[in-house]
Amino acid sequence: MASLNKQALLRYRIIDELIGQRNYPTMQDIIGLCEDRLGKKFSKETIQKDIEAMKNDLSLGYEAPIKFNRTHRGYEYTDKEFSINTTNLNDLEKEQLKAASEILLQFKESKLGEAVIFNDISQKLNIIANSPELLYQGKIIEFENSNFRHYDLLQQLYQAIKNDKKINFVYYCYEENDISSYSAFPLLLKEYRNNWFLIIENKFNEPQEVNLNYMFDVFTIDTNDKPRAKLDVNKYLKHSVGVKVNSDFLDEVEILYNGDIANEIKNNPLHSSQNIIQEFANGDLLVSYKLYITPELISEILKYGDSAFVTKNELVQDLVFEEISDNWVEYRRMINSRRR
Amino acid sequence: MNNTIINVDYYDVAKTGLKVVRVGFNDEYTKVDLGFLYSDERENILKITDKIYLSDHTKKKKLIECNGVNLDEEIKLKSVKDFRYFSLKFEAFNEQKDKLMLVQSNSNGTKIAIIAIQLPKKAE
Repeated sequence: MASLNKQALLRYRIIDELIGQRNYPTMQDIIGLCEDRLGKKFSKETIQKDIEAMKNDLSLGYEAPIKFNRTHRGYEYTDKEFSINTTNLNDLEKEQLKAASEILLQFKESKLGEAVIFNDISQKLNIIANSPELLYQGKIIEFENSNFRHYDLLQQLYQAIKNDKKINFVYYCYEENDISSYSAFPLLLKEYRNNWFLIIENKFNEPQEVNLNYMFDVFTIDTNDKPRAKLDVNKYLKHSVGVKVNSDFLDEVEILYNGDIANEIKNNPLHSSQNIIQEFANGDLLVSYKLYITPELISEILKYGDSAFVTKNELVQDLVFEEISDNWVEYRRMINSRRR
Repeated sequence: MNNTIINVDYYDVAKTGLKVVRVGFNDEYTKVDLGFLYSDERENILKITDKIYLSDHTKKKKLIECNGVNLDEEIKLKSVKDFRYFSLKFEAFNEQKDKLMLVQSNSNGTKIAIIAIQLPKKAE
């Protein structure tokens, strides 16, 4: 692939502009204009490579029909209407593509981006948006760094999902301290709190989540099997906090949030079903949810400490109480012993 | 012989703390994937040596490669959440087997069956 840097992109645009004028520019014409516009010297070989890339480098996506016309002794597009800029994007769309490109560039700089899907896409978006100026510009957006180790595995699973391939893998179940092997169809990759999870179709034809940190020796199986029913994983996930996929019935939960965190809850809902029942004069907020009760839900509630109190749903109250009571007893014991 | 992978779905963990999770047969080797799991009732120490072999009760197959563990490395599990996954590749059998035994001689020459492997018929 051609070295896709800002200079090269600018030269492609100049070459495109010149050939597009239908005056059969010569090599010297092209070199001259590139040097005038970009303020530096270019060799014939550089421009020849540029033309070759515009014609044949599929990763650029131009496939420009450039031909040297012997009669006129200059370059032409055999398709007279061709231009590398014929994307018909309006300014707003170009801006949106630039923003998308910048987001993708963030991932490209990580191991994750290197491994998977984002390779070169952001640069292609820049070409489409005709804005090479964006390349190598300083960051405007920064995401949390995904400290992900198994990027090869992610790529492998991505391909398996895309091609409906069944996989075989060994999995260590942390909760049960057990290790087993499984064959299953992978359905969705999901990141949650800097960990990656795979949702699979289990042998009961239900979605089930596995943590990539505990998957070993994954390979695809050549089989004629197909997923029994393409599960709509998003349907399950939309009722969950986190990645636990649960097909049980939906629960209604009400939580009273302290005024100190009310704004945070309003701006960053715990779950998409969040519904504000009442805002109190002191800032407290009473909120309801309709969702599956998952361990991640309990963790999220605990995260707010004494600023979140579950007012409705006995199961959630029990689970939260269980989580805090053990530590509470231990803290009490330590504090008492200190006071003695 | 085709490349055959058998998921071992029984829950037994041998006295040694080993659990067979998967066995693969092909013309080049027989691969045994194992988990080493912690238990309060065991020593939780394991050492794989070059004296290990795979037997179908008539033939012995030598170890040719190991992954996830080094020969003579002493694996010592520290807690109930500690585990080790590793694979051992042995010389190939000419056909798929349903009963295998992983055997290792200890320092005084006595042979210890470190795990008996009973395979289900169904393969991937």
